Amino acid sequence: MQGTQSVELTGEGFTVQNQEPSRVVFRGTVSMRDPSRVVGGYLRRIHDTAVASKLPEVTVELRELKFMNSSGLRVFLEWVENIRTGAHRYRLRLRINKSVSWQRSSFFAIADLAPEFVTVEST
Amino acid sequence: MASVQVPSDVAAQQLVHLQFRPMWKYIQGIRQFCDSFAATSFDDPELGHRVGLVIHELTENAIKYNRKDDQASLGITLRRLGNIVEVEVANTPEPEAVEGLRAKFSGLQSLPAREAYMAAMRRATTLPQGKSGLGLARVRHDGGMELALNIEQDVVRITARGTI
Repeated sequence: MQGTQSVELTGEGFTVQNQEPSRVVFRGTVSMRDPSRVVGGYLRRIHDTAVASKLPEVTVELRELKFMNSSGLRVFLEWVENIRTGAHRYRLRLRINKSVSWQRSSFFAIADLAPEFVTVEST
Repeated sequence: MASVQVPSDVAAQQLVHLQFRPMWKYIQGIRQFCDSFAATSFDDPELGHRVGLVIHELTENAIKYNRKDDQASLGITLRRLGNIVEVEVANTPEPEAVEGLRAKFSGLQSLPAREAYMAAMRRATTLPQGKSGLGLARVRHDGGMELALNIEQDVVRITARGTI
């Protein structure tokens, strides 16, 4: 996850790409029973890199994420909590698809938990 | 407690009924089918997504806590009642899960949908791994539907209703 090397996580029905340290792209459907180890672990490494590199922000592209179950949303809530309690606080910019209602309602709610460092862009 | 009332002169129109063994591998296909079916039936893709989300979350919960035996069965019904869409998920949970569900419902229904969802989000990261505690609150907030719980003997029916 250093330089511009792309690191991809492939799961059942979804992919997550970390194309550069500050950009993460979700595609597909996350509906695993417990995504905490696989997806959570992947995002934790991105977080650790962001803290170590003192990145000002990380952008997460969610527009091609068709569905995420509530266990998947918990992974994002843990990410927000890791930023809140971490040694370096960076901005988490969530780019969502404005035509997908669950993305609007869930990710704006997550942003409302930490408006000082979580931003949602709806396009 | 919020609820979506059906006028007494409105007849229920059953659109879909699925009965199957409660296995995780079925959830995604069922959500996709019900999303697409509801979108077509109501000529409303957004309503289809809401129905799909509600069915997904209720089915996940039902499977997680269902009784483990060879005869276990889970039922999903989608109905139209005038300008109301109704999703019902019926299953037979482990006995100890039923009381937990009652308590969860009581707490959830005492708050407006937004407040209940935000409270569940704040609590989620404190739960054991593998649990989010968000599903029912999400049905109300993201799915835009109100919930009712009915328990008869060992069968639990959760009904979600929303306006079309």
